[in-house]
Amino acid sequence: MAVGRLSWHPLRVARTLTSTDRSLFQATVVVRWLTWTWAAIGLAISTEHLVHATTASTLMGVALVLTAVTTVFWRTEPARLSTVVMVVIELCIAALLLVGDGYVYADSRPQSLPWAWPAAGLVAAGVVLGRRWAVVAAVGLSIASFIGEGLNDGGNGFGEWGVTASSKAGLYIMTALVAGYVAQRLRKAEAEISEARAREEIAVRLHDGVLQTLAVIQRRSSDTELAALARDQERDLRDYLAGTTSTQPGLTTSLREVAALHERRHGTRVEVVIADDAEEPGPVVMEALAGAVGEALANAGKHAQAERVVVYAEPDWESGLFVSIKDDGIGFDPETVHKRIGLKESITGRIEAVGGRVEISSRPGRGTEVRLWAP
Amino acid sequence: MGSLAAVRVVIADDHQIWRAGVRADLGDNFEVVGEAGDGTEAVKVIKATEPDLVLCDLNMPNGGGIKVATECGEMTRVVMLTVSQAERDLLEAIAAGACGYLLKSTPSDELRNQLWKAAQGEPVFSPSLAALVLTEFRRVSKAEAPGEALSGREREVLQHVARGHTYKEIGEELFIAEKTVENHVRNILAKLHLNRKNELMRYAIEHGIE
Repeated sequence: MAVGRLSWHPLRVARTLTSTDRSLFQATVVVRWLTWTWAAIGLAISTEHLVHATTASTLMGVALVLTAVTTVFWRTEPARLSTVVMVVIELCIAALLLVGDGYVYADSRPQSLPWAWPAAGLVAAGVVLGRRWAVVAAVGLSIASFIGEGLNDGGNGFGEWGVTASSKAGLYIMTALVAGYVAQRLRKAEAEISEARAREEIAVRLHDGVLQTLAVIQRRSSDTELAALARDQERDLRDYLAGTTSTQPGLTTSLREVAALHERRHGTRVEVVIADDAEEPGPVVMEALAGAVGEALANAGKHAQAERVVVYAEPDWESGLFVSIKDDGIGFDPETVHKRIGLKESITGRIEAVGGRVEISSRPGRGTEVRLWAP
Repeated sequence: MGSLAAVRVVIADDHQIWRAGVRADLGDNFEVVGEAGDGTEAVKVIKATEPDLVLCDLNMPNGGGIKVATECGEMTRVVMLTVSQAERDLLEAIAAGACGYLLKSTPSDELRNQLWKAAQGEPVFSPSLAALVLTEFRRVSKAEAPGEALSGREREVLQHVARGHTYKEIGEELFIAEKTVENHVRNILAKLHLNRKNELMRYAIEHGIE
């Protein structure tokens, strides 16, 4: 998340280190020690090729000091490893060793002075500075190794040392690219995992605490307004936990909104049940549906004296959506009541306008059901 | 266990306060013979007391409701009482052998009513659960999942439940007895149970798990 934010101050911490950063730095520390040890052995067994033994030892000593310092920092204040200055110092020392390689040896030698030690600096650069700057650093070290190999030439000509230097350059750039890329991906993955974990933790806590409490309030409170409030809150929380954003208008959100409004206004419990595989209608149809469902609910609350309403939506067998609004109210006799106070028009009008159809069925004492088919 | 005697109930929930609340809400027709705070304890208590009905929270430590339904679903009626609407969980619970589920926000009188019916052997099927099961069977009939499909009548019954009709209303509308509606619902649950079991077995065989 905070990838690439840099601090140019030698002591100021670039960012709070994640556990990914820590383990990457641990890796560079280990690589530094291993490569330095191998380089030191290489130096010890090729003393007969040396022309400037003191300089060679001094350079290796400087590399050892840096290796030790980074180890100490890693154990005590790992954030310091994440400063630009630290990385630049390390890269400069690496460059010095690469150039020095050509100066301290007479001509041919079994192994270059720093061997793979500079690679650790490039990994650190990849972690701290990111892929782009790490490649810049790799180009710098490549130039240094060209100078070093050139100094060491020993009369064999560019054909030989040029190839060696080029292959080193290739390796450096690859190392920088890979280190920068891996560090970035790991950080991203870590951020994603911790976000998911936080959500999960919240969900568990809410399930055990807040949702239970809201359920108790709804069940045990005789205050209908309080119960309705608890129901609203419960719905909001559930939506959040399920990751459904209420800003995005859709079938579920729209019908739930209509239902919630109705619950507040009439105090009737409305259960909205929507099949998983119900298709999202277009905006025009959605508006007609929401309006029709609202009308049906208003009728259930005002005239039918319903206590409970179920709004159900599923994909229709042929095409589009099937929606039903069923209440447990007093119902009516369709034979005697022809047009239930505009119920038919207000609902049928909206649905037929978008090419759907409506059926209303009811019997005294058996509640009322409005069924809608929308394209 | 005639319908005159009080229904013997075990309540399993990891919140003591919730168990006390439900106990208070159940009234005279129910006798609480045991309580448990987690899945393992619930199974132990149920096996010891052999209740008519188990009221069980879906999310509990040590296995939770799924475990209780799996291990005790055949010897007694397990009803899930839960705040969770996590759909897979509910379907899993029903497939494991629970005979229904109720939301914890269900008002006391309705809760008593539904539990009484459950104790008499009627599946407690809420509209949202019916919708879930319908979706599951649509998946089967589109051959995205192997398994036995619903008959036309069963689908019709299930759709009515999803739409909020009572068994009585469904019976009247389809010109069949209320008992027949109940039988259809039981058959639907049995098919679901079987399909899920076969799916798990198929998965196990495909992935080389013996």
